[in-house]
Amino acid sequence: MAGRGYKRSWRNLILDTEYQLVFTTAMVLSAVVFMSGLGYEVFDMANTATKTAIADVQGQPVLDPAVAEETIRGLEHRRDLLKAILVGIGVCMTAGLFVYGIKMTHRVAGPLHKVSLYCDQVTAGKYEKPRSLRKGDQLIEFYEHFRQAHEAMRRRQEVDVACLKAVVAAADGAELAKRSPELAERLDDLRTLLARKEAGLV
Amino acid sequence: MSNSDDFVPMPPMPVKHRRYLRNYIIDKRLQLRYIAVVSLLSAAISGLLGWMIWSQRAQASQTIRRSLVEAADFVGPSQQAEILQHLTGSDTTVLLRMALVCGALILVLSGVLVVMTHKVAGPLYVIGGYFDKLAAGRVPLVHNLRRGDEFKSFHRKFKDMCNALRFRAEEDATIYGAFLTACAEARIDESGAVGHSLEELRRQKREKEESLHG
Repeated sequence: MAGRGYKRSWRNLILDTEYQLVFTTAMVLSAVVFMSGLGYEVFDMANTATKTAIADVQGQPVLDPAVAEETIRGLEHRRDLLKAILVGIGVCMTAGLFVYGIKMTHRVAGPLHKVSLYCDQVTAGKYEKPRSLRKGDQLIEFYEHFRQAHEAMRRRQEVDVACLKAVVAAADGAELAKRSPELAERLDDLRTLLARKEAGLV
Repeated sequence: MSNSDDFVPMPPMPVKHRRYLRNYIIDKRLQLRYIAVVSLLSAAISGLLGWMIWSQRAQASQTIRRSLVEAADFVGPSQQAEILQHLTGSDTTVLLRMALVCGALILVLSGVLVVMTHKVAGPLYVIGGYFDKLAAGRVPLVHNLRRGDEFKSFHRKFKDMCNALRFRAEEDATIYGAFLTACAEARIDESGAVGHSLEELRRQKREKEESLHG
């Protein structure tokens, strides 16, 4: 992870598919329910008003048929326009909300993704110093808990290394390996462990 | 002198963590932010479309009122008053009914969202507690998440990390212990630098064993 920039990119917007899609879908669905329910009501009323107006126009015997037809066409066009506007707003809002929802949940999934990468490193025995979160990220408090834990684990690793170095140096100084084959073998184990722990402190 | 068999970790007991109503809001910032966004959005849509419905209805009522005035010769004043009163009452009822239905829907939606966001905040709260244990030098026994909780893959990685830490702590303590035993068997003189370093190694071994108690 070292040296890699943590810029947000469209390709990486979905980091936790299940969480991000569930929460975005919930947001989009609630908007769709309100939009379609009330939108239908608006359209229904507009339709009724248009029908009444058309009946009114058709009931005018003195009106020129061409004018009446033009008026009816105009009324129907207005109704269709309202329908198109309602559907258009609904579709745009759904798409916009979907993108917003993904971006919003990304600000939670991002820090978790970062922590999970550090967890993988610790699992592999590596203790790279954690970077700070990006601007706009959430879970700041949670990340602080993680950072402190990581710092403590790294510190303990450093203490282990210092202790093992002191033991190996003292053992070499006192030539303990020559005292018994068992002791020499155990000392080699300590050296291997020391090398592994040192390698983890990148 | 203890060996690795002495501190084999107990498998996590299947502890049942129940959800309580009073605990549903764990992370106010995270949960309320999401709930507020969705509720405000729903309220805005309801307000906008509700206003459109109401204005259309008001327009229709206005048309009827105008027709009533024009039809004054056929409809008596008392009848007119009755129709006008009915129209006004009907407009108010529609407005109230709409507001109530939308308000109730938003309330139900907020309730559902509290439950949903709890399934996000819950695991984070629990794992945050485990981080505190790790910071205090203990390696926690990680329990499984509750049914329906989010971030299962993250939890799995965290659990793998804790298991690896436990394994390494056990392994370290075993290696330290074996060296200390070999030193004791070889009757090493524990004075000077060797004595100091062996004492420190004993302390480290104890710490590692204690860290495994979770």
